[in-house]
Amino acid sequence: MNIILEGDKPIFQQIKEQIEDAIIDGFLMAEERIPSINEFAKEYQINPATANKGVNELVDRGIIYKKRGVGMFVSSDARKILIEERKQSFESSYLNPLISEAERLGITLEELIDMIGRKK
Amino acid sequence: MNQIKGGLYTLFLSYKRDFYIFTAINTMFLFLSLIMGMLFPDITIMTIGIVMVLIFTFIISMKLLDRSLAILLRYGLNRSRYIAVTGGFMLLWSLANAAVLFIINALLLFFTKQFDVTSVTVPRLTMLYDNSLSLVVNYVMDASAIFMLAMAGMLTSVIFYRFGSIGGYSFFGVILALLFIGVPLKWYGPLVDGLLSWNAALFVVAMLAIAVAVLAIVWLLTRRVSTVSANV
Amino acid sequence: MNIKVSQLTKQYRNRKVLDEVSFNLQGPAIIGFLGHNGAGKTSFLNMLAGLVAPSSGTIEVEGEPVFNNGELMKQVCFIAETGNFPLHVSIGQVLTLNKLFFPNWNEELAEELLEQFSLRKKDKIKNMSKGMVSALGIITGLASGAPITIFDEPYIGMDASGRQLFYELLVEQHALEPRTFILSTHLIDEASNLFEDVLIMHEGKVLVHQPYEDIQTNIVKAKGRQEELEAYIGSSKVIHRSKFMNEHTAVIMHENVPAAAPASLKLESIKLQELMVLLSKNKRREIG
Repeated sequence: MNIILEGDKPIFQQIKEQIEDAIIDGFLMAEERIPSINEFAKEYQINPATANKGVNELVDRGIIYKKRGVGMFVSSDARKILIEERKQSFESSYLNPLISEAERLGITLEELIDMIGRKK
Repeated sequence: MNQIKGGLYTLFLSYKRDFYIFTAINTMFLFLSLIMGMLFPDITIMTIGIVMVLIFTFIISMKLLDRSLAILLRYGLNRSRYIAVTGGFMLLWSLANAAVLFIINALLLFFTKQFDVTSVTVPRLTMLYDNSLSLVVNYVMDASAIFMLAMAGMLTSVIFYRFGSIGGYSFFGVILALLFIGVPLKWYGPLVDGLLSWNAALFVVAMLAIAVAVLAIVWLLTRRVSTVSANV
Repeated sequence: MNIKVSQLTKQYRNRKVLDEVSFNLQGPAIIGFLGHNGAGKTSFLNMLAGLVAPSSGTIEVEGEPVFNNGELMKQVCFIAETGNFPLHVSIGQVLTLNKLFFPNWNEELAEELLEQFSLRKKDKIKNMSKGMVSALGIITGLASGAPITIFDEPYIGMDASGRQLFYELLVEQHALEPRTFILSTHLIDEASNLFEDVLIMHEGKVLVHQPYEDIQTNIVKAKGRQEELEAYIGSSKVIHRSKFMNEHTAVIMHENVPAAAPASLKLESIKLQELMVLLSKNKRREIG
């Protein structure tokens, strides 16, 4: 037990995101075996059916695949797919809140671009 | 002062039920023997009020520490005050029980005379010395005997509390062994003779002296006692 | 009220439940007294309340030793898990007793709390449910007005709403009239936000004694690659390590406010409850 799941999102979704993050951050490489459903259930102290639900979503999207009797593995292009997906949602998840907060504080677009430019 | 008052009140609340129940049983028993005496005049019936009170007091005082020590120490009494409170309470207990006996004895004597029941004797401690001694003298003797036994019970209670079941039963074993050894060694004859050669005043003084001595031992044994008893 | 504990040791037969413990508690404050079963909490609280004699060492309140101190103990109210009241006694009689034993007894508050916990004065202790007796203990503790009030697992058998009421009342009473409240509990998640000061006992020793806010900043959980994690840990104590999906996690106890971590490490604060679970999994020598 090393992670306490937070209360605001459904648990299966948090499991799904944990695996996605591990793949994007390079902790899980392509073709690498990922923990079994039971290992997930034990690690996060949740019902195996809940863990299964999170994992199955990733299977459906081709991020991971199952080998009968062997286990579950990261697909060869999993990282590519995930990064593509995250890029697409980047605007709604990160840019929109950034711009609306800037508007609230009266920061103009030029000032904002300037700030970002200085960060780099 | 309030701690003493509170301690006495706690013990009063804890034991008033026992007192009522026992007094009711004792009264019923004594009057039952009176009725039996009236119905069957041929049988001699002895009523045993004081003996029952003594046994009952001993049983109750054997549970004293278990029932009240933890609660009263948590309420902030120190050990000496606790002993003072329980000693004081048992003295009041003795006076109250002797008072009940006094009333029962007076009523029984009145009724036996009234209905001329000769088969029922009402034995009293005063009969050890002089049948003509008044019930008031009997009251003082009863109270002192009850108090002495209460203190003996309290000592037993402390020994069980401090030294656990093993210590408690060993202590009992030694006492019983001594009592049995006393038979072949003929300790009891002189003891009874001695007791009978006293008078009522000496009896009361002796009882109170023993009670105070036992209370002092109890006090010594509880000076550092914890509420976590040796039994656990 | 200042509580000074020096070199306190308690030994039962061949088991040492407290081992040369020394610390100071400074009231008024609500102090969380934590530790898993057998850590020595109740033994300590029993000694603080003068119920049990220390094997060696002392506990002093305002400079006076507590053991067998009848006057000082009027200032201390100890509410244990069970056995606080005689069995054949009614609630009303308990209030009368409390008035005699606690010089600062607040009868008005007690009456009000009886209503809040829906207790009736004529009910007898032996006929009451566990939760109701616990509620009476809580009422006694709060209304005692004792400068040091100790609650040792006071809510056996009480439901969530009863416990919530207790927390609210505790904070309210502490705000109205600041006192030293010591709360020992296993339900840490529920109660941890009440604490100003937290003391964690572990196998007869004090493992952590810090203001609650410091614990939140000084004890952290860091996740990331092993090399970066090791560099960040440096010489700090590690309470727990684990690895899942190739990611390393360490729960770290810093002595002081920690330096900033590299951006690639994920830092999370740790809940007291989780910390306790991890502590009880580890042996002392691994931590020290």
